[in-house]
Amino acid sequence: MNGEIFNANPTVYASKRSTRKSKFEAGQSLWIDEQYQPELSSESEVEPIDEDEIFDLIRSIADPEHPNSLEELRVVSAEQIEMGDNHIMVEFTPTVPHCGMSTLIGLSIRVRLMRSLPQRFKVDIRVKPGSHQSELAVNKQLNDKERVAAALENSALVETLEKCLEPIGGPHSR
Amino acid sequence: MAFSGALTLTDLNDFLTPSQACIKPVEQVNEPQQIIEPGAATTEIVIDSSGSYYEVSATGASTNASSKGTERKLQQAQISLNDCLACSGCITSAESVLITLQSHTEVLNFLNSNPPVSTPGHNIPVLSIAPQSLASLAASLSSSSGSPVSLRRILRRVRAFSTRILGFEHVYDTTFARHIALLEHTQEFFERKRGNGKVPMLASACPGWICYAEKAHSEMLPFIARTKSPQQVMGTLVKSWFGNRWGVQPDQIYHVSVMPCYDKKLEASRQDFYNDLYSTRDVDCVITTGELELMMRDKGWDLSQPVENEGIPDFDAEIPELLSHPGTSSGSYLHSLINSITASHSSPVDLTVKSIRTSDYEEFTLRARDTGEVLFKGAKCYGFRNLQNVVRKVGREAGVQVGRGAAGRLVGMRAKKRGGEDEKGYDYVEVMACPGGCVNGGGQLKPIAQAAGQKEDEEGFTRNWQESDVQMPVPGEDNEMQGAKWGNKEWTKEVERVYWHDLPTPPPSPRPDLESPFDRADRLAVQVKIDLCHPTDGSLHESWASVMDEGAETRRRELFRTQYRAVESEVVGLAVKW
Amino acid sequence: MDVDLPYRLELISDLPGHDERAWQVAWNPTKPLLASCSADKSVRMYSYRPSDHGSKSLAFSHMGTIPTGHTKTVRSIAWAPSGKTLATGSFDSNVGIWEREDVSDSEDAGETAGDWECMTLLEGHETECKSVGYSSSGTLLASCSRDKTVWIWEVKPDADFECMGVLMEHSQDVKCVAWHPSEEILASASYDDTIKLYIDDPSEDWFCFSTLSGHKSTVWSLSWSPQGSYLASSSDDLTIRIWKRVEEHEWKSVLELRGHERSIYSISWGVGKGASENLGWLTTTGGDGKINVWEITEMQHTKDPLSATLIARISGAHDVNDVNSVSWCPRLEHPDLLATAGDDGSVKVWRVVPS
Repeated sequence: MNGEIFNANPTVYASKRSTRKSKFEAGQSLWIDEQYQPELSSESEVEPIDEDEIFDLIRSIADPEHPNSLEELRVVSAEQIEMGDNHIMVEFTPTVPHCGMSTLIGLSIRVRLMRSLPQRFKVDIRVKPGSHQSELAVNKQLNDKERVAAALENSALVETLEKCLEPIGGPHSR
Repeated sequence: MAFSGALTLTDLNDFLTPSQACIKPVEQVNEPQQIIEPGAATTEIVIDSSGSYYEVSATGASTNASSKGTERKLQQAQISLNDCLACSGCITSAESVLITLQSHTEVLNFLNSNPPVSTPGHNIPVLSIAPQSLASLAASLSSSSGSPVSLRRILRRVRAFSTRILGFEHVYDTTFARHIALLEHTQEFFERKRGNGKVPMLASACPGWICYAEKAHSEMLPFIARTKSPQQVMGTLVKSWFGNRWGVQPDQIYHVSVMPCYDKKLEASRQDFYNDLYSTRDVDCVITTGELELMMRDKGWDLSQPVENEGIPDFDAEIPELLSHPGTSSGSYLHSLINSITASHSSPVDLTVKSIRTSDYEEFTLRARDTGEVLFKGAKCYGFRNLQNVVRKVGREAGVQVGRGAAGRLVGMRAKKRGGEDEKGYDYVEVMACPGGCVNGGGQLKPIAQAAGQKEDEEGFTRNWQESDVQMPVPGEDNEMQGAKWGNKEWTKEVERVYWHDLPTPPPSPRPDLESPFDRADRLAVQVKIDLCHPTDGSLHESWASVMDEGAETRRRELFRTQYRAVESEVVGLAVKW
Repeated sequence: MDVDLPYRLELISDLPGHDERAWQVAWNPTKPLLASCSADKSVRMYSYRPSDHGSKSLAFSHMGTIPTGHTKTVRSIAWAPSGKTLATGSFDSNVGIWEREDVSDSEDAGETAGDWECMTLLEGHETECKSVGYSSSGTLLASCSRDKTVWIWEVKPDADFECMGVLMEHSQDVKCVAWHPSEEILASASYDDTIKLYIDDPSEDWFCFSTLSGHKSTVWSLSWSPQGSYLASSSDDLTIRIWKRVEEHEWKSVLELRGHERSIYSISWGVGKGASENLGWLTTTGGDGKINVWEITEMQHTKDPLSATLIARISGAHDVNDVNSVSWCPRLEHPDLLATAGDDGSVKVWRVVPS
């Protein structure tokens, strides 16, 4: 209870690695164009999607509190994505073990994937084991579809989420 | 910041569910940074030796170490009780974090740092204790010692402890303040009946109910009496009336109250009870019965030990003590109205009481004996569940929209056809948030578990329980499923019994030269009114209800009434708990 | 594989229509009506009658939509035992009570649903209402919410309701409430992994008399056996548990079933069509898109008091989508009929037929 109250400012690490300019950041990837709704008319049109593509979708999500992307903060990485047959597991690493924004970060990852991927994918999102003091609670909440559905009907939360999902440095950047 | 020792989450059995949605912690919004250069804008948070947080631009620091502009002190998240009142995140106060701001440690810290008497900066420490708190202490002591102890003896012992050990200079109970509150409350009721305000009037003494109404049922606010609670009337008495008598300013008094309820801490923190002129509150700090008991234990004070003259009523006390207002143990608000209407009606009246399911919801109807006309219909309604029904009933009868949800917006919501309802609506409801009322407040002492387990108590304790038709649950037996619930209930009944134990309060050897405590209270109340409101025709007023000149009436309202406001806090996206 | 099972699920009707995820289906207990609710904030009503093609076959037709006016998802619906009143539980935290004006008791399927009216709105929950349910007598209504509370309302004449209890027993989100089929016992399932059982103390308040622990994650759904001596629960821990009433106020876990790869969102226990000595058919569904049907049998001479046999299964019941709700038709003439609601917004009706 306490932990969540005094964690307004999670530690921010420098990204040692120079940012790879992906096609997504550089321009307009189909995946984040919100007009684009993949039509899944039949199983035969299934396109293979790999971990790198998933990473491209989520790397640019902004941290809710800092003007950095999840990639820059090393919250997400390609290695932390696991693809199965119509199943994706995304692991992320909160910046500090008591990060109170973890559920929001996880939710933004889920929403980005929900909006971008064909419906056949079942997505599980969890924090890196041992990286958060409320690991189980965060994982449970992020994978409860009813909680997620209700969250996405909360306009204040959605507004915050949309900010995280805007391209960093874009015209609507903070 | 450590929690007060007396407080753990399990102690917080305020009966409104605590919410997880405190908006305060993340309200601090980071200033937008000027330049956003992907990959370059990296910051670190460092904590210096004093525990302050700084945000440091890592790249800036390395290239230009002397630049101070890259260091920015971050605010620490702080929550005041006032913030809680302004936030709808929680429906009630039961947030342990907040209570540290008003705790017995605060009291001890203050008393320790208070300069000695007659040195500059000395504040007069005053303690006021609620009769329900005395009852809780008495019940606990009675059950552990096996012999009943009266509220008067408890008050004397608490006074001895507070003055000798803690250094308080004055210790009062709050029943005289309640007496004034009841007078003012009755006056307000008749004002409303005359058309000056809404009816039914709803009680205003329970801060849990007030908080809930402000946050969830703002449509109820016009119905809630504006009369201050006894705690806040006591605040006015201590800081203004006694202050004048003692020749000190309000900020030269430190006023602590002992209450059966955590939400009283919130009440004392309301901005309405803050004196801007002297930068002081009417009640500086509120502690619960449990916290007082803990202080006594910490200081090694044995409440079971008698003190001198503890059984003898003090007729010369500055204010009348332990006035027992007949009716309910939660302040007798309803009964004071019933008594007042009965007294003012020219012909005999009959009172009928109808219990709705439990004693926590009772309807009282007053009829003229000759005509059968209903003169007054009121109810006492305790506990969250009954409170819901009162809100629905009052909302329906008064035709106001209930709730904060999608009320009325539902498609085709049928207009209620209730024209044929010939039943008279309520004139008054004594609303309390806790089941059982204030004797069962969240800050009261808990039943002694061992006592419950011992079937053959050598001190005859068990026999007493059974005689009074009380069954204590036995932990560990198969009725454990009911333990938590019934244990509390039976204990509440016991505190209730002790509350009324040595009452009414006639002097043990009636002295003809003494007026009755209530007559004295009435007389003194008028004196308080005159002293504080300064009517131009001061000497002419003989009753509380007599109307003064406009200026004095305005002062009276300022002093003895308060106001409520609907809380619609802005929702911060970052802080939404989902 | 599944072909070895003695029964299969035959799709009777596919009823698309909701614009968003369909959360729950509810069969009217007295009339040939099926209702569904959705994130699109509406309730859709379908009537059914024997089709022209043969007596075994049923034809379903959409007979109307209630737009409800709830400001958020309608998460849950429940019919009163009379079949005349419908309750809706919404993420907007309110419960709506709906009746049809001038109800004729005819089973005329041609009626429109446009005349469903909101009789009253029950407010009190602080956050999303997750489930609603009427007691077997129809005199009580329960609702539960993420605010951790379970509320019990008494149904009074003239669409009036009185709050009988606010039960704050769970430590988390309450997902489901379910009334015993004949007694006034209420069960609730929660995100706190437990199930709680409540009864009324007539002179006092409702209270929790038992907590059933065993599930290792969120308990999503509950269903009492038709006779009421068992309670089945389904969970995010991918198990189904059956709890047996061993004393008047004591239930014990007697069976654990597996058969799903993702959260099991819904469970329904019907009388089934098998041999008379069995306890009926239990069906489950969830995030893996499967529908399982089990036959539950009481065992006389083994150490396990119950056995469950998987008798039918279908995968991809709503294509690639999660299935959120499954429910047996309560009408005696259709013990083999069940309906499901899925993330695709459609409602499907299935019949369990011999393979």
